[in-house]
Amino acid sequence: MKKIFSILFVFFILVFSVRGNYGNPDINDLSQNEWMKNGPFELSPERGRFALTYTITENRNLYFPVNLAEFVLPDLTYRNGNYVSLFAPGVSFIVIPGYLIGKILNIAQVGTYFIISIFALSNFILIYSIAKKLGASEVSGILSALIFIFATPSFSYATTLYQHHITTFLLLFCLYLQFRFKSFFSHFITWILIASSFIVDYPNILLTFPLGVYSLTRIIRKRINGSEVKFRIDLRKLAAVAAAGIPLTLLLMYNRAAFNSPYQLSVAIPAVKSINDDGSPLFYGQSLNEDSFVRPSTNYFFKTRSIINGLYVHIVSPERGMVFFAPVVLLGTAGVSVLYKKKQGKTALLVSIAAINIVMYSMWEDPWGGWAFGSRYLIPTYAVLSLFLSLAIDYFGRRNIFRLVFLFLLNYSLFVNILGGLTTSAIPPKAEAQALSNLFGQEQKYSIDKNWNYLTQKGSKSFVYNQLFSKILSPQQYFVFIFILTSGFMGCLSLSALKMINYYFPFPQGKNENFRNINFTALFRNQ
Amino acid sequence: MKIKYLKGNFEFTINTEGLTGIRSSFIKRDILTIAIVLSFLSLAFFIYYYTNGIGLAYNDARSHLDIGRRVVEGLKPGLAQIGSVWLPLPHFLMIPTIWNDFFWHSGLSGAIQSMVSFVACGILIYLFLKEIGLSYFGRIFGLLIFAVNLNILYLQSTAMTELTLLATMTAGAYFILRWFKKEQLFDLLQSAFWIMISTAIRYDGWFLFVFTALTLGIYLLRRKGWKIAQGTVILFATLAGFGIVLWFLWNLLIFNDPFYFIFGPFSAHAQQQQIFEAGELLTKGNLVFSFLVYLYAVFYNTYTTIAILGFLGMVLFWKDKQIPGNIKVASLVLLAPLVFNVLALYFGHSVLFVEGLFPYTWFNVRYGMMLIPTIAIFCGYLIEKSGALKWIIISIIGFTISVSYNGKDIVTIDDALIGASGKNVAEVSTWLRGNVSGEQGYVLISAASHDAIIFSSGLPMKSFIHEGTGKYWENAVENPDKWAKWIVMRTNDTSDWTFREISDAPGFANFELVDHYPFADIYQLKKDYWGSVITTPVIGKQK
Repeated sequence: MKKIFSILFVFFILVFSVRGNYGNPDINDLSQNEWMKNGPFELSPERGRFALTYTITENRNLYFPVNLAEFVLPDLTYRNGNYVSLFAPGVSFIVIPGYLIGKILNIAQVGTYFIISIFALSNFILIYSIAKKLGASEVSGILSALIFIFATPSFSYATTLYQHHITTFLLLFCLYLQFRFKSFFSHFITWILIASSFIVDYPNILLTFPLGVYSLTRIIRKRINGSEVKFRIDLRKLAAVAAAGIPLTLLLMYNRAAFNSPYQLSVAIPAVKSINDDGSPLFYGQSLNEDSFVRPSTNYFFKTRSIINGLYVHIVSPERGMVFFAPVVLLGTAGVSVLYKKKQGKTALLVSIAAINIVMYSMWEDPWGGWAFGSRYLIPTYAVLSLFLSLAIDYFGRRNIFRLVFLFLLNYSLFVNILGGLTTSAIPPKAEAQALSNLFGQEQKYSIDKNWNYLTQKGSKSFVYNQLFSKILSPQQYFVFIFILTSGFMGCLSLSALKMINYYFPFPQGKNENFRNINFTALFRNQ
Repeated sequence: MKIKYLKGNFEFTINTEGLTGIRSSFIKRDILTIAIVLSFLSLAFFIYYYTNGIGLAYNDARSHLDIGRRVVEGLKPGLAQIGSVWLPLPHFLMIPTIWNDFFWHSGLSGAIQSMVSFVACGILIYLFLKEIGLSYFGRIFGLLIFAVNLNILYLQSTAMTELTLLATMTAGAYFILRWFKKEQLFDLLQSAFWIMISTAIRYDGWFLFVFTALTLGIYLLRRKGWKIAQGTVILFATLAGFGIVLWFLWNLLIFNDPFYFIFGPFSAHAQQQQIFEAGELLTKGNLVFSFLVYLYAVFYNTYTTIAILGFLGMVLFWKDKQIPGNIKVASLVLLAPLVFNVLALYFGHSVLFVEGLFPYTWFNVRYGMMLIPTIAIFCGYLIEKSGALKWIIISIIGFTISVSYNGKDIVTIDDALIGASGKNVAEVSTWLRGNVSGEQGYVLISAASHDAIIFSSGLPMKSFIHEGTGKYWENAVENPDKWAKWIVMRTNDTSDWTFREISDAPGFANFELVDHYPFADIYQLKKDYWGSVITTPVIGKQK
């Protein structure tokens, strides 16, 4: 009951927040301000992925006609006389059902985006399930899953078309399978998911590396017997590794169709800077000869020199930093030692995913993720920290200092991220904001205040708001409504999770088995 | 190895007795094995940098080599050429080989000591970790953190002083650790000896001397009373401070001023004063910024993640109740480079520019390397104590290092080539090589400002009249047209000693500007005066 109620709650909040416009946009509509700057396609990651979905469904091919290519810029490449997406193709294929169903209802774009919301909902369920599996109480599991969805920048990316929720879903599903099952089938699915993550976003190959190693350590068992070391390999489970070939074959097929070579990845092809009047491409750093300039592979993306700045941007900067955008999940670090005492292997796996995520994207050439809300690359880390948070809540929840800090940070994080989710992700990095300020002679914001300005001056990008509520509520009122709804629901859950009340408010039934302090007046007294 | 097939499983059985044999033979010859492996690594990287031409990217490296060379060759050879700009030991160590042109121009004469120090420092890190009770795994891991760092590998391939300093300081720290453990006099003396050696390499060693003496004194005062503390510290300081006393004496004898190296015209103080007057010594008087600047330098040299993990290791080390207090006290010595560099920046005795805090420039970022042995030691400790998380740390460090190799992230090379350390002298030196080589006559030049040009020109040292050539210099700056055919200097820059001395000399009018470059200008004596200019050594042996 509690779980169903929570799922419904998350579902409705996501429905209320998903960004979009009414109608089935065609190529000519897409370039309109109503769809781009002021609409759901404000940034190129959304445009590039949607355009591929569009051309697959409408044109039955993988290439962009010139006017669609202009819409996709700058995440565009050119091969064999055709404009092709620079992104890994997975997301665009996964959202096709949403596009088709949405098209029937005359909301093709909203349908497409809502597929991501469904992945976000799935992530909520997975976090709850994994947290339970790790030993968290039910209410802490639900609360930490809600925190991941609403109190981190993942909320912003649950309402638009980005790869992060799908990536997180694949990671969490693998974790769930590995923690829950031991069968051939669990390994089989795990390897399919690991390989699928590569199709969703190429850097995921590094992010899923610990999962691959974890799965292999469960297939290859080591035993020491005196001077003998025995390695036992379960051949049936080892064969499951071959399942990775299924998604990879699909990728090879895509590459062959798009680039005329199965082994050609789009990231190794030069990006198109702009399109000439005659429809020909103009590349970065050269004129027209596409083969004379090949983008270096990992050198280009990962730089150890960038780590200092990357860590600053991801962790403490007001532009994207976790401290500013989702401080509540930082309390999850307290849960690491709690789990480590009980389950070292699982702790190691979870920490390694978060650590690789942070280190990898700190080395990233553009740690800001372009114009974005919060640190979008760290969404898998928010998920991992939420898992640890569920344990921290159970373990430290009786300490008043923890309660105070947690409740404060929870509400702050909710405020910030609901604001981000309902408004815009187009927040420039500080350097760009300053350059724009100089250019236009008007101060440009580069943090949460930009979202507040957007809310007060332009409104909300929520489809439901714009279609149903804009006539009866101001954007600010709508924001306050959503914030009070989530904060109220999660606040009540927090009281239960922190053992401050002895029943699962607002659920109608069920006793909090962890509750010890009956005296409500002693809520803030040390126990 | 046995392979069996059992109901859908393959079972590999490895008898570890063979591996145990390998392990025990490594244990028996661990130091030798490490020395051989590190020597190969060292040689390989020297050859790599020598062949790709960036082995001597630092102008300072060329200056070091020139100082060594001037001791054995030039218009006024002799030990006095060691000068006062830098501490003397690295240049003394060059003397046995620097007479040879290949050793001079390849940089090998200076690199040999860095290479040997690299091997020695690696071994010392291994021994340090052994002394604090780490397993082979932890020891080797700590050693690798040091040995595969590209900045270390670059600086061990060049004629700079960092590696020699690191090795001697680590030796000092290692023996003081042993003394704190066993309190054997010989360990104290060995520590004092190596710290004394480090004081003859760089001023960082002087701070280590004071820091170690204080640590020792405070520890003994609290544990054993005034008398023992006094006696031990005096014993330690007598040997460890001997090099410092000698350096004062040297300055008194050669320059008639024991403080010449501090306040002389070529001192770091004088250079820092110029930077301060230019408003660029931003760390002076700002402790937080000084710390931040040095932290950035350490991060750039260690790829950040490794420094952070080292810091975690340090916290674990000091929280570990199983480690005796005396060992913890001894390990404080490892932090001396951090304290020294922050204080040097704060007091304005040092200058350091790093990207991110200063706009697009580097200067002396290599100072951040001084903490690498410390970080390596604490990383070794971290890996030993991290249990199931060990493989995460290894993966992260492995990933970081592989990206640094893939991207050739060597901040010390950028420091040499792009930053203020790496002014391009190639144009001037190429001109000299093309126009002066084979000609009779001297080049008047300030070695303090243009040693890198002297080196890169490929001309013999005796072709140059510089501040260290005694009467040649004195005569040439009075009557340049009588003593020099060419002059290299930065016109209108009073920090260039040649310009400062000859700008009002009447003979300077007989020179014409033949080429102008960003780094220096080249003047040539007008051909009409070539007949009267001195072109051979005419002054006998000078004192």
